[in-house]
Amino acid sequence: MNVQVTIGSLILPNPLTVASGTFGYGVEYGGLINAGTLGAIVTKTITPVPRTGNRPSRLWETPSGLLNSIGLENVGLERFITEKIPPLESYPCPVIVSIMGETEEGFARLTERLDGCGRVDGLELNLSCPNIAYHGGGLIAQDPEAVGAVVAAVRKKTKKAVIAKLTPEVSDISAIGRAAEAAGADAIALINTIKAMAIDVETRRPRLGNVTGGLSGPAIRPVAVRLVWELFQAVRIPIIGMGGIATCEDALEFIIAGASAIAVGTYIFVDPQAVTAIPDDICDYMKKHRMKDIRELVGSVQVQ
Amino acid sequence: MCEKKDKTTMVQTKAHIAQNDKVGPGLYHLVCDCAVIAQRVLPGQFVHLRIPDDALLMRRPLSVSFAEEHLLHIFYKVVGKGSKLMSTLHKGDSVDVVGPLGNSFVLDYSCECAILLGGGIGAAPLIGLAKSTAQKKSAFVTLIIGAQDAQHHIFQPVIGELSDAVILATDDGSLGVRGLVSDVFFEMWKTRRLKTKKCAVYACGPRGMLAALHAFFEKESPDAVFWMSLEEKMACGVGACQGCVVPTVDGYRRVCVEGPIFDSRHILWGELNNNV
Repeated sequence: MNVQVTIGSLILPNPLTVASGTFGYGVEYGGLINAGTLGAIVTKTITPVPRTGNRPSRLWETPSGLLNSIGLENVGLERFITEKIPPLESYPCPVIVSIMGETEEGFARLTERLDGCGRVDGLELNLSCPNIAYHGGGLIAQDPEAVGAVVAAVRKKTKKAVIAKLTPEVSDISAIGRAAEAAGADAIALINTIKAMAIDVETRRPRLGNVTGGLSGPAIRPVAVRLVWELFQAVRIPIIGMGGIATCEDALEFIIAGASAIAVGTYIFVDPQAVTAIPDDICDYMKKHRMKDIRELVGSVQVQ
Repeated sequence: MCEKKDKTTMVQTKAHIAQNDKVGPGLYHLVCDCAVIAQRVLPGQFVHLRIPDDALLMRRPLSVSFAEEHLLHIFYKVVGKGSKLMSTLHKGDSVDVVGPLGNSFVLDYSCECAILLGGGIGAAPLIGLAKSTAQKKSAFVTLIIGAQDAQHHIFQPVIGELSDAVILATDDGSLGVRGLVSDVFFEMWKTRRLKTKKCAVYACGPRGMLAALHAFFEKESPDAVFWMSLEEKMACGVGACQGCVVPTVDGYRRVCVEGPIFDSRHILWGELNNNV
């Protein structure tokens, strides 16, 4: 049975990855997660210089969901290279590093430096964090031209796998996805969190220090499945589907909608042990349905 | 003092509930049969407990009051949906627990005395800290526990051999000394001339109480060491998500890893969020 997933030059042993921002720098969960069960990890987004992140409170729980506004707190590129990469040297699965450069030049600079780091197997471009205001307040991932320009700038600097992480908050995901594909992205990660808000009615103040945040968790899953399905019809490069995946059944839903790989995010906080069972459970499903290759499943939804 | 614990020792495990009794108004005493965590937990550390409900995803960080062989003793107050659901758990039910997490209180024996100040449910971890020293140096520790009234004083049954070292206080005078924990402490500071002694203070309780204590030390004794346990909303509990940070002189620090025990002098009190 083959459950390997190919993303550009990168081969994932199985389709299970983790969503950037939920898995820290890869070591925080210690023995709670057996990294040998993962297809790849994606580290927390790093930026050219360190960021202190947004004002607390940064978390608020909503029904089957989580609202967060971390604000990309991270150690910055140089400390990431000197402090965070060495502990990943013996990591049993591919390491994908999430980066956010604000501008084309910023992304290019991050790529140039990380391209020289052997342990970095791929780059995920965070074009869609809802907690960061870009030029004019929108997201890069809301503008096909900006997406194309950033992906092209990164593509020039590396042969490693390049993944564009997109936002659900667009009227036409196909146009954005095609722009990333045309500029040379090896895959698209979809979806980032949905911008959202919660209010304390007693104090009439927002629950989050940054007023708004990004919503994740099972509450957003059907939105994510729909977007993956729409994007699958528009691009030929693999899609890494995510948004509220908690179980093998959820993962299969994304794969059948068109995702070649999937990521678990918020649910890692909830049940790290259960997450690592997903690849084996996918194999059991394939056995039951007499499938030999996971590619038979990708995008196999029967809409007629 | 506080101590970093090797992260490799944390585990995720199922624990049977040995007891989940209502012990005061909205106050519960939860006992989990969980040898693997009970045997390694240190005073001030916490566990992350899964609420058995699909709509309430996030684990709840709960301070461990003390451990006894294979049992973890936890005290909690019903404040929202999660704790309300927890209160419906029965003896024999199974819960999913991650722990032990966070740094821990460590008594500084180079001091002449240690004063432990617990406000309301916040007294829970200090019971474990006091018990950790009970046999060795009982005269060393004084534990002041405050609550709004006698009904809210829930720790007497577990204090046991510590009782000589414990002072109870109530806001309304219905049990023990009348007054807030901080006021009782300020009085003791004067009468026992603590300023002239080398004493270490450890506290856990409402933010207002901790802020009052910090302001007191800043004015009276800027060199005094005052360790306190802080709470924040948490997601991962292991240092991955950066969600539970508090502002410190060294920037934002995670309550789940660099805390929950902090040196009060490191906290930027003016920026500390009070909506916890």
